[in-house]
Amino acid sequence: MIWRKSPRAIMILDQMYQFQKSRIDEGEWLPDDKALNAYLKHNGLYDLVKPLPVEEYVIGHRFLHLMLGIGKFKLRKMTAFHANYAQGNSLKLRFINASQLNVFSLKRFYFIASLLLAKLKSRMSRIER
Amino acid sequence: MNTSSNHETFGLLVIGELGEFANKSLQSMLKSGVKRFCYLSDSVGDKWIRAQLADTNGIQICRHSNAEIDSQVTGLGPEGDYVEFGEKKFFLLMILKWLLIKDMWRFHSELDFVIFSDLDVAWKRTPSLRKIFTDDSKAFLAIQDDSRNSDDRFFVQVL
Repeated sequence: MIWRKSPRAIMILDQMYQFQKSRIDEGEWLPDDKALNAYLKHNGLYDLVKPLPVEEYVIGHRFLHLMLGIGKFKLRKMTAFHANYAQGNSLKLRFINASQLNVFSLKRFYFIASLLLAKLKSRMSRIER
Repeated sequence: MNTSSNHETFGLLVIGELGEFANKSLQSMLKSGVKRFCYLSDSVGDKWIRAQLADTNGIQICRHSNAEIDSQVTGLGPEGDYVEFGEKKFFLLMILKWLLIKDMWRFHSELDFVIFSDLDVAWKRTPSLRKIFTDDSKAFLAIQDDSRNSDDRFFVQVL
C-alpha cells in the first residue's frame, strides 16, 4: 500500500492504530484489512482511496492467471505479486520464485506444467472418492 | 511533486527470524531499485534483516523506534516464538505498521510517499507514483484491490 503524506493521512494513521488496538484489547481479533475497511466505511473515506490496478499489483489467488497469462494478467505487466494466499514457507517461496521468472523461460513452462498436473491429480482423486 | 526519492523508500515490518521467502522478497525489492529500507523490528528481526542486506552496497537501512513502538514490541512477548494465525500476538503485530508509517514521516520529512510492503511480496519494479496519484489529487492512499472476493468494498488484502 502507498500512503501520500498529508495532515489527514497522519491523523488517519493515528486513528487506525487506536481503533484497531482498542478492538484487539477488547478481545476482537481484527485483522488490518478488515479494520481498514471498517474505518473507511464508518468515516465515509472510500472515495479518497485508490484501488491499485489488479493486473499490476497481483493478489495471491490470481497466481494461476498470472502464470498462464489469462485475461489481463501478464507477467510483463506485473509490478508486484503478493503471495498472501499461499500457506506455509515452502509454497510462498515457490510462488515468489515463479513470479520472478522470465515470461519465456523454460522454468516457467515447467512450473506451469507441474501446477496443472497437481490440479488434475487432485480433481481425479476427488472423482475417485 | 518530488517523486525522485519517494519511490525508492520502502517500509517493512520485520518481527522474528523470517523465512527464505522473505529474503527473496527483499532481494526482489533490491532488484527493483529500492534505495532505502525503513523498518520496525524486534532484535531478532533486526539481526535477520541486517544479515540479509550485509553484502549490498548503496542501500540505506533505517530502524525506526520510539517509546510507543518499543512498548508495543515489548508487549508482543518473548521474541522468536512462532506466531500462529488466530493468536492475539498475530493481530498485535499488524497494528505496528501504522506506527511505522507515521514514524517514517516524522524522521524523513522529504518523503511525500511511503510504500509499505509485506515480506511475502515479490516486486518487479517500483510503483509509478505519478501514474497512481496525479490524476486524483485528494487520494491519500492507494492499495490492492480484491473487491470481488468480499463484502467489503475493496482492498481486502493490504499490500
